[in-house]
Amino acid sequence: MTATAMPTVAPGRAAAALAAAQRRRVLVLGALLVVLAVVLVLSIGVGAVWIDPARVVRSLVGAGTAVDQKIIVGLRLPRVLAAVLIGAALAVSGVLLQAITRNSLASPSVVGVNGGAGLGALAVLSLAPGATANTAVPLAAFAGAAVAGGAAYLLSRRQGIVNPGRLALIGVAIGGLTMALIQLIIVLTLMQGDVQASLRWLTGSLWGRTWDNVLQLTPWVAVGLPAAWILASATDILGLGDDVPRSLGSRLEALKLGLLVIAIGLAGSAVAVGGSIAFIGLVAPHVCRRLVGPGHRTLIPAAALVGAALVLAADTLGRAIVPPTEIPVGLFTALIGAPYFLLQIRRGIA
Amino acid sequence: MTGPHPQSKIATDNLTLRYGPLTVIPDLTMRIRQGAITSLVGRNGCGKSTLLRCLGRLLPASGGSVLLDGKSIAGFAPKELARQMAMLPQGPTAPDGMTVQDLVEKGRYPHRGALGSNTAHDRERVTWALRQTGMSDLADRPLERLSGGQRQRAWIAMALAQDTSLILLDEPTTFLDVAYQLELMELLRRLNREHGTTILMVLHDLNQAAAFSDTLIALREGTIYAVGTPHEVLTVDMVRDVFGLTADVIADPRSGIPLCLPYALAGPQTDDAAAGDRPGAVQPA
Repeated sequence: MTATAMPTVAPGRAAAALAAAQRRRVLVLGALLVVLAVVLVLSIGVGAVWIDPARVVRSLVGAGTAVDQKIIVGLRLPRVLAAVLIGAALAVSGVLLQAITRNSLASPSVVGVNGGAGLGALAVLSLAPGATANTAVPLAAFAGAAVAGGAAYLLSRRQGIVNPGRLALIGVAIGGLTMALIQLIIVLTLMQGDVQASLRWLTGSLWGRTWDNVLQLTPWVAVGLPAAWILASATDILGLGDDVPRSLGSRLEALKLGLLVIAIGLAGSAVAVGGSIAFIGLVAPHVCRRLVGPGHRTLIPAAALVGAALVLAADTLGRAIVPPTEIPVGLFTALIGAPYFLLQIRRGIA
Repeated sequence: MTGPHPQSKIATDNLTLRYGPLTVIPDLTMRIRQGAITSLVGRNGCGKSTLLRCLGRLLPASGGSVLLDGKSIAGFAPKELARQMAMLPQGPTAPDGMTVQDLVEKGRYPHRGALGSNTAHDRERVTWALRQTGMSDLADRPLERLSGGQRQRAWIAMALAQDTSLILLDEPTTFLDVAYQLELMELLRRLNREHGTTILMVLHDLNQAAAFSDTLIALREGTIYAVGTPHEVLTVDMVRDVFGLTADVIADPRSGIPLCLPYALAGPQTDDAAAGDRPGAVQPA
């Protein structure tokens, strides 16, 4: 990663310590990249037939057997790539939302994105069971996420200013409303739609993800992640309260709107493909802040790597533990995420 | 008055400020002298912090205008204004884990382009600001691990790195112990004397304001009660009328600067006959 700017020279011990911290951040990013690569290879190996890492790597570079190639590239790789993209998107979305709300407990669900996406997806799955699940559902889910997130933004705006606390509260209210509507749909349709798919979707699952889904996700991640990274130094200033950023010449409201659009685009596309995968947008930024500090220039790539590795690992474990039954990835991330947070809060760190 | 004011760094013309139905500043015209240290004093709620925020464009004026070097601040682009004027609000906060160096580098934000990379000049200014505030050796420390005085110096360093000819500060010495207060005021004085930085601040402590300011402005209910040198403004009448205190004002035995020793709350509307009689009292315009 060429992610990090050179530190400013300060004399003596402090300069050495700053340079060391900078080197450490670069090392952490490198280590996270290695971890992700290892999880990726193992994840591809896990399935109805186990494929050992050497064969996986050979196939990935195009030197594997025809059968391996077909299984890996045709079947397993799209699901694995979807997991990586979803994890990175959710984590970076969480980083941005935490910056906007100045609250390290904010996540995509806090601005109503999860609820909105769930409502969109359920509406299609229950009311239009004939629709093609792989295109219509993600589309409806994304629309729901965008509408819910946009509504949260517009409602929290007063005299052109978005108050972070108000945004979080209104997001929670919108989330509650969408959950009620989702349950209303379930009750009214008496579960006549695709019940299996609905349930999978609400828990968050990568079952049966294909190259189509990877292609749906790619543009959002390919635009959203670099855009977030470019805005990193402007985003850093958001942490200094309401007054200091403005007296430093930040176009605060335009910045918040831009970051919110990126965050909703990332989370909306992720949830549209993978369903409501819990805790990634919360845990990944939290872990990374402790690893690399609060600067967004390294926090954003670090969170993307950790989010990707977490979703991928959760999905892999979900497939590997009790085959052929799959534990949905969203269930797994919640099983890992909730205790992590309880532990942090008990320790008084969160 | 219209047209340029060569002597005034920042000024207001018929400034009005309203919060909903409440008028905080009815009609204020003032000039802040270039290259001087000016302090705004007055009771809690007299509008001095509101006025400072309005000068720093953190609050929009309801009427009238704020002029920086004779030009209305309404016309400045955000970064352009931030290159002319730094403002340190009261009790600023930073995210956990942010180091002094990180914070001070934020002061360079208005000087950077969209991509925000550090130039050699940025690094030089940051190093200078750290040195001026004595924070060079603490540059790698996270802010939450500093003492109150060190933290406030780090914030001042950020404002210095902004490299402006005008700095506004809202009660910079609040929450600091006496030694740190003195240290901070001496730092501000040195900046002013050595670099000609114009400093305008809100101060709680009348004696501190008198000791370190060239000009005092006493505010009462959003209007100027008195403006002038500490000798002219810090009088028994001012302390009674603006602060509601009965006090003795004596000359500081070392510096001769007036020193206020309050001894009682002034009774309601008990203006004694000597009002306006004491030397230096400036009547409201």
